[in-house]
Amino acid sequence: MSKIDFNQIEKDVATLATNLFEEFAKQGIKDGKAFLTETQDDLVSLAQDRAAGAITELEYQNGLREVRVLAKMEAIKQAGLAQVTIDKFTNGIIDIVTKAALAAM
Amino acid sequence: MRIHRIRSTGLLIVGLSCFAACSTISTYDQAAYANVTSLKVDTLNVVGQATGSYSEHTKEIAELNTKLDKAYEYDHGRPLNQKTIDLWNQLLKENPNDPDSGILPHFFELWKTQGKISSASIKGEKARIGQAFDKIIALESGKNK
Repeated sequence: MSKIDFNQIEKDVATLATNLFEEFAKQGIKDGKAFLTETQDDLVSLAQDRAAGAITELEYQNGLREVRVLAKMEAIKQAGLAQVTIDKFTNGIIDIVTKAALAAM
Repeated sequence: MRIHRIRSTGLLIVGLSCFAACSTISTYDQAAYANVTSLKVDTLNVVGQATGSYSEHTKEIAELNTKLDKAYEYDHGRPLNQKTIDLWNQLLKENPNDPDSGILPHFFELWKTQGKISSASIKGEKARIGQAFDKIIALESGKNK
């Protein structure tokens, strides 16, 4: 009859945290950079079209408003994905502890 | 001694299972994903017709709004789904406390006000509205399966 190996649990939880949160941070940075590039290109394009008279003032203002909304939506999406990562972490810990507990029975 | 240990371990597992039930966000839903991807296509099709007269497209706009309302209500009924609802709200709902919100109703109002949208504007509109849908799609596809 063995005891629960708490040292192994600690190591497994640390590995889980490193993998999950590193992946989340990398994806967040990638998404943020892509969003900034898209936004920059869009704002330049809107300004150029307005200056050339290709779009109306109302269309220009609407485009600017949409860019602001997209920034909010990006923040909401990232907050949601952070919750997903936290749930994965919680479930991962439970899995690790349950396996260790069963192994000790 | 052994019975005591088995009982303790059993209680630990039951406790952890209860803890596991405390998710913070809904899991992936195939129907919700299908709704939003399909509606992205339908919406961009209608937006693409905005170089034409608004009055000639009121039927398509009304049909699209009904489909969007159904998808919104489906997501609204899912537990722990507030972030997805927050995204839909930014796309679909005008909110006096958040005057920028409601990308689509603002776009349809603009179309109605001007009668038609210039072709140069449509390209950007399709890109931005597509990005808004992509954020809802990305959150849904990123959820735990």
